[in-house]
Amino acid sequence: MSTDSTTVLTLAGIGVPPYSARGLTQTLEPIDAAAHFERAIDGTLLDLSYTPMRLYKSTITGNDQQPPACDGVWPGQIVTVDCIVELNSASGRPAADTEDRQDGDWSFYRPQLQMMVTAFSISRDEYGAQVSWSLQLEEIGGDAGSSGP
Amino acid sequence: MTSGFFWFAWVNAGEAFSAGTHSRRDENIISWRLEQTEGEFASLTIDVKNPKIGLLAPGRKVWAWFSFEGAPLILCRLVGIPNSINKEVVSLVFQARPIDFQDQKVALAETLKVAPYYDLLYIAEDKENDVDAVLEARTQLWHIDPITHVVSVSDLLTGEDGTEVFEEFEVPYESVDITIGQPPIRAVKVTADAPWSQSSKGRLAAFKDLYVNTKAGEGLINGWPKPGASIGGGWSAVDQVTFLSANVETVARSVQSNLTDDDLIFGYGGGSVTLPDTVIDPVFLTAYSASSSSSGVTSSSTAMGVINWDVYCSLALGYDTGDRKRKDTLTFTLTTDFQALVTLPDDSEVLELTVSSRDVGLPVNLPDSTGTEIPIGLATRRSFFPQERGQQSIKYLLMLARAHIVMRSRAVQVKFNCTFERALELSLRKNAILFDPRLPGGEALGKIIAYAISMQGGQLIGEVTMGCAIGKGGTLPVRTGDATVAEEAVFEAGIQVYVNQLTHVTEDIAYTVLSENAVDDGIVFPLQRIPYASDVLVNTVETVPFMPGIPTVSPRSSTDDCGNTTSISLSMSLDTSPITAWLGGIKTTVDFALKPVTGGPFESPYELEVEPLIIPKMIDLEAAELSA
Repeated sequence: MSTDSTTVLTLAGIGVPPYSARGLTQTLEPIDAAAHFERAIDGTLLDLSYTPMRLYKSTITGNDQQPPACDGVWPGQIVTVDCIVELNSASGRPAADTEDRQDGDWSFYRPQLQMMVTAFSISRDEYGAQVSWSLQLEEIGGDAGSSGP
Repeated sequence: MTSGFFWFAWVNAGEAFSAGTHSRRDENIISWRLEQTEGEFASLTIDVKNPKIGLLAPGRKVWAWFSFEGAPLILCRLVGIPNSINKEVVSLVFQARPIDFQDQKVALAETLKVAPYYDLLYIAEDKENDVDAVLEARTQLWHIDPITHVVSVSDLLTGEDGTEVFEEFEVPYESVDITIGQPPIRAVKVTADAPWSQSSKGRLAAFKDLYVNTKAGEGLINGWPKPGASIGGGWSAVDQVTFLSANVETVARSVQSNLTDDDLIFGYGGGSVTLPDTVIDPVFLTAYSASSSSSGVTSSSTAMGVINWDVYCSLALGYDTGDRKRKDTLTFTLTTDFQALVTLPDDSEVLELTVSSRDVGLPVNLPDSTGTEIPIGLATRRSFFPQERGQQSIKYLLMLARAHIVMRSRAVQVKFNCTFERALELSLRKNAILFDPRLPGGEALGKIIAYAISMQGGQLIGEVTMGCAIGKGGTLPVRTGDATVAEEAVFEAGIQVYVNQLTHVTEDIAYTVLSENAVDDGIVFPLQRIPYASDVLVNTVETVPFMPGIPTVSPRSSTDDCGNTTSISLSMSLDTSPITAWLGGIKTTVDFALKPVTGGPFESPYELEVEPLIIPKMIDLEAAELSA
């Protein structure tokens, strides 16, 4: 099964068909729970956040001729995402590529994130033969494994 | 910012925490809340994805360790199957109730049965085994450590494990919330009684050799109380001695003689008459004769005698009070001065406590179960509260009233949030102080009465609720009292007696020592002397009235012409009947009246003077404006 070679995006578990990923954009931002601020009595801004909540949410939008492989994609589905977005410092996530991209003293890498689909939408402009789609994801995070009593 | 992970591990009952073993996630917890309120078990509520299994199925573990980064937060037991068990997310509620909670509580309660905080006299018999009764007079509540499950007690105002200080820069501004709770009690009026049955038995010498000289000695002797005879009023004769001696008073004498008529003598008068060995009649006649060989005179006489009794009376009386019902009633009003809150000064809330003790004359178990004590000590006592044991009860009653006031003294509650890290330091055995310029006085000190740590929506927060007493603080006066026995420093300690002496029970409560004020018939047992109700009067008859017999002169003898004198027969009839009749009509009495010892019931009121209770000022509601 071929994939779209015009993008570095990889959605393991969903796939990126040819001609579905041109014009892709991806956002990467902290989940809402990552931010917990309160103003103290004296006005000091307090960071009350919980570091395990330092996770990403991402929105991937595409505008191309083909729809993504969206059939069977439901919220809750786990996807390994090789991001388009590059980060320039160690975030603790594995890198999608075997080698980082170097630019002077800076090192850039594309994170590979374990994410869960939180929302998905797709639309098609029939006359314009345009397919627009959007996939919203949140990083799973946490610690692996659980066992019953 | 908080780093680290929370772990939840199902465990067996009593399984000790091991970071290596229990840092696992047996349930995927969506949110959780750990909280504890004063006097209660800590609880943990976790929201988890419905496991769709029987959580209480036989063989399943129901205990769990909830921990954070290798540090335990709570050891708890699943309370029951969750509500809304059909939902995809269910809430499991756990409680940190020790397996041996009751045993620990009982063991701890035994150590708390100490004066002045515990007095079995005022613990109802049906509550004697109620472990919670040991806290009735204490300003403490049970505390159960959520991790160690150690049961202890913690004071309502002063935490045993220190004070957590929360500065302005670490407490979220919006989280501070002040609520005014139930108005405090400004006074507790206590009425307490202590009943017992006063009893005493004994014997006393009423008379010792009471001398009575009388002509009616026999009657006195015969009528003297016999051993065992009841006199009434709890009195009886237990022993009697009458010692008798007697002499004879001659009240008339007749003479027969061969003397001439001129020499004839008759008349009355005393004389030495030997009392017959056996005296039967109080009036008797006795005869004697005399003769003279030289003169040839012979005479005989008859004397009428009356016994003159010398009676020495002794009497020992026994007394038996039976049960003299007594009751001491103690009243006092413990007040305190709170800062103005919502009530007007005239609307002070007063709590009235009426308590009755057990019979202080009956044995009660000692708190340490080493035996029994009779609180009154001696059943003969006239009072209870002024006695040493009574003072102990007074102190308990003061502690009881104090506990009610202190419990309601925390009329202001201050609640605020804190970081998770600070919340980990919270304990219901601690105080907290919050600095916030919005508070009157800029700060509030309180006892932590509740805390919670929770994670909702991925956000961790700690919550603190503290109760702040709104007293006015201060210290109690010191009053050594006025010496009554001698001037100060004359005696060693323990001998001098003081009035108006202030006794400090604790640092915040003191009272003026009671003086004896028994209201009764004034009889003090055991009796040291007979409680006469009147003087002892001896009514006796010592003098015999002039009541002679009738002398009768027989025909005289004659003298012949030769001068020879023939016998003259002269006699006087001595009639005993008038004197006998007189003696029959007289009596000698010893009159006295005794106070009855079987009186009662008696009730003695005692009004205790108590200094106002000192309640700390933990928040200054009357503070002046803070300077900028």
